[in-house]
Amino acid sequence: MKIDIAKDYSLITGLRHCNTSDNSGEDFYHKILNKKFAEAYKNKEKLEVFLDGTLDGYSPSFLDEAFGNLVYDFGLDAVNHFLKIKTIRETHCLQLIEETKVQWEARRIKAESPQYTESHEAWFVVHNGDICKNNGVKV
Amino acid sequence: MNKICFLFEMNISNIISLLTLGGNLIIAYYINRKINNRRKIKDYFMDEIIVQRNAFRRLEDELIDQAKKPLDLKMRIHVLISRVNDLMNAASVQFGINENDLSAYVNGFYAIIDEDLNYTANYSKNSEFHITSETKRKLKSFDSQNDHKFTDVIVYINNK
Repeated sequence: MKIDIAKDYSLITGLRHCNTSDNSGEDFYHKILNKKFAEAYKNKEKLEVFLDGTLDGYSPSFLDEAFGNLVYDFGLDAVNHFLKIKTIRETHCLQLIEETKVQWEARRIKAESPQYTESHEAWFVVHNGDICKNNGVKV
Repeated sequence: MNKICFLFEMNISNIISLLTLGGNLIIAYYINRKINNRRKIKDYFMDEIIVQRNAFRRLEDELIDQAKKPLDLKMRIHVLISRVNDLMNAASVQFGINENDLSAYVNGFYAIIDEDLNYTANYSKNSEFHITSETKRKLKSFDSQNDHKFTDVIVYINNK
């Protein structure tokens, strides 16, 4: 299973939140990454995310918000197990995403909720090892 | 008879010496040429690292003095980072250096700008902005603490 951000989402990515830019990390997470990762998690498959091909790369805040939310909702172990970032041109992003994952795992443990600047339809989270929607609905 | 034998041996030994000397000269020539080629490759990479370092410095100076449009700035940083990535990728093949040795620098530099309140506030409309005084202070502090990362790469390549 894979996401090619340039093809499946946008050639131009924005900043952290929906209220500061189009195609933000928050938007990408809720529109694409959360659903695809949940599918990969259910099927016990790896999700490959391809970073190359966007026109002006990635702002650190976009990556932090997108992959940080993923760790917050699924936990670091699941993300390390089921997510693979692929890139040839954006190799500096790998280090950034690794740092983000550790920071957001700490946030998850402390239950420091992410900021949502737009309303999003219910999304997938892992609770006690089971996948469900963030509003408690089991799937 | 003894004299003839002596002269014959002298000739043989001279020929062997000459051949050995010639062989050594040829080997020395090729080794020297290889060393010179290696030196040229090292010099090329070290010069390119300095060029990239100066490009970041120039951008920092411009950010402190001049207004910028967020999208132009984002593209410019992307180009700078792509050049560093390409260069480090090639240096890793040539010299075995870790290709991510400058990742912390480029990520740190970009993160400071990315967090600037004026940058984010003007991003959607792509209006010209000046970075805040706080960002200027952070950039200067970051530079003084991380400038050595480019030098470390140059030293590594030179010692290889």
